[in-house]
Amino acid sequence: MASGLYMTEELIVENLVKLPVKSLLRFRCISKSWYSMITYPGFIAKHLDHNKEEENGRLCVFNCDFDARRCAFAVYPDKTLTVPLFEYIGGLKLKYLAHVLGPCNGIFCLINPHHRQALWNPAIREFRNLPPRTISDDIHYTSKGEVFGFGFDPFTNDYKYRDGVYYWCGEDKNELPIYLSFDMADEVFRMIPEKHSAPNREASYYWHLDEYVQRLLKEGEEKDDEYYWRKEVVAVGPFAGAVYPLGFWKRGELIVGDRDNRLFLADPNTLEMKDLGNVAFQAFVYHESFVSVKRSSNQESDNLSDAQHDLLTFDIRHWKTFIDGEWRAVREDQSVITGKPSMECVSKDLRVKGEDAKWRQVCECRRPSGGGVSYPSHYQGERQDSSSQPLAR
Amino acid sequence: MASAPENEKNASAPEKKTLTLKSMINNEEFVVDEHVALQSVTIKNMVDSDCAGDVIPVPTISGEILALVIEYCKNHANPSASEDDLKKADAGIVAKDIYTLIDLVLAANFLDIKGLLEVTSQKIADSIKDLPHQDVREIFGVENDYTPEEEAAVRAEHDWAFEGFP
Repeated sequence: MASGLYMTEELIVENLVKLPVKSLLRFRCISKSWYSMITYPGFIAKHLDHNKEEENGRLCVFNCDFDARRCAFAVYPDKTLTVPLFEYIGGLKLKYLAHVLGPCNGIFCLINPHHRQALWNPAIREFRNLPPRTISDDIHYTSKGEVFGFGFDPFTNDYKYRDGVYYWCGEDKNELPIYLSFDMADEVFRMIPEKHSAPNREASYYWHLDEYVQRLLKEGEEKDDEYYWRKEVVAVGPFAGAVYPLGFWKRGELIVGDRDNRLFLADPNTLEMKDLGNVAFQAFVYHESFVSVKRSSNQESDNLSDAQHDLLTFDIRHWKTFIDGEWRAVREDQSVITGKPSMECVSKDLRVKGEDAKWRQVCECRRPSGGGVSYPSHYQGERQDSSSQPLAR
Repeated sequence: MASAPENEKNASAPEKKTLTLKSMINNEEFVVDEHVALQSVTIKNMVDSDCAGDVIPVPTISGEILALVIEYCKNHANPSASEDDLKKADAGIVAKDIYTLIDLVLAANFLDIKGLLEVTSQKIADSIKDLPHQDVREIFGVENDYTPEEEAAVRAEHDWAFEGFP
């Protein structure tokens, strides 16, 4: 460096946090000191903070090809979404999955129909099966109850993302909220009895904490192939032909799917729908991270192919398909159930107030997995109407 | 009320104070408005603590780089510049080869200009992200202290990330 100044470690880190995970994995080969810089927990946290900025999110989609019996995750190459090419991520060769939750800190939670769960960080291709839950009686994935929230709360030390607790939230048979936690340190699932006991720091995905609730509901009526959605008291739409709300994109735009699962970017202001040139089952705003899902006590993580086998091999009869805007699922007893999709989104980050802010959040979404659409009773038959605000309470 | 514009005028139009920045590498001098130069926290501290004479020597930054820094500061001192204008101007400033960028990031760091540091390091990251690690090693002048076996072992941990790279 001709100038006589030199790159301090701090300054190098300033540059490295802006690199994609894949480049960083390669650059660990540069030298031992670069290796320690990149694998240092403080760096991983800093990298995560940088990537979490809204600008750095990419659109990740989950695709399934029923004929080929294959599912895959892919991201759009850039944030303009104008290039409909996918970059496949994660190196997973999936058969079928029941649910994909997250991502949270770049980590997805995959759940199979036998309720087995796994954590997965596609950016570093780490996969970890979670042990079977022993407290499954009260939480249901079928009928009305479903796990749909996923979040993570690192313990007091911000840097130790490994030693934290993952959270799920859902409903039981009676539609009462249920929280489930998994402690990375002792590997035990626990029920959290009351919602108030849930920590509200990083409480991104608690759909139930009043302050954090943002709901996007499809209104009960379909009119001329148009659906009405509403998020909290705000009515959005109609978007012609849109059937599945899949999530939020930047600047308040929505990602929606039509009845053939084709993806569109919907602008809530102009009501314009932009064809994104792809078919997808689910869409997420994805911020890649270096956060490990390995056990904190030792360095061993699940071998990817064994782990996949364990989690993802299951009876094909459980999977649901979407036909003509309805889903269809075959239960274990061979009975077929059908229903129309609904979606709820919960979101985080209510730091920014005002109209714009309402659409800026990262969301968790779900589709119902059985039992039909369950609108809470007070939504039934309601039309969107700015003069009545039933959700305000 | 009638006198308000006049007051404003008086308040906002004192004679413009300038500072002279001098690169100690090649003795090039730059005369800049004080409010432009004060975007550098380093210079601001010097001025605030009365350490700054008529000419402020900048010890380790070449005239070429200093010119870029001043261009950045001028752009960002212009209150009528829109965000888009600034983005475009920033992109022009950092459209340089990697070695110039490294000098620029060092200068931004030394002079403590946060915005310039940010935009330059982002550009550096964009420029190196698809380079082989061997090239990056050379660019940053890092000595490889791995044995070939050790390097191979680190590489093997995530071999898939090296697809298409030497």
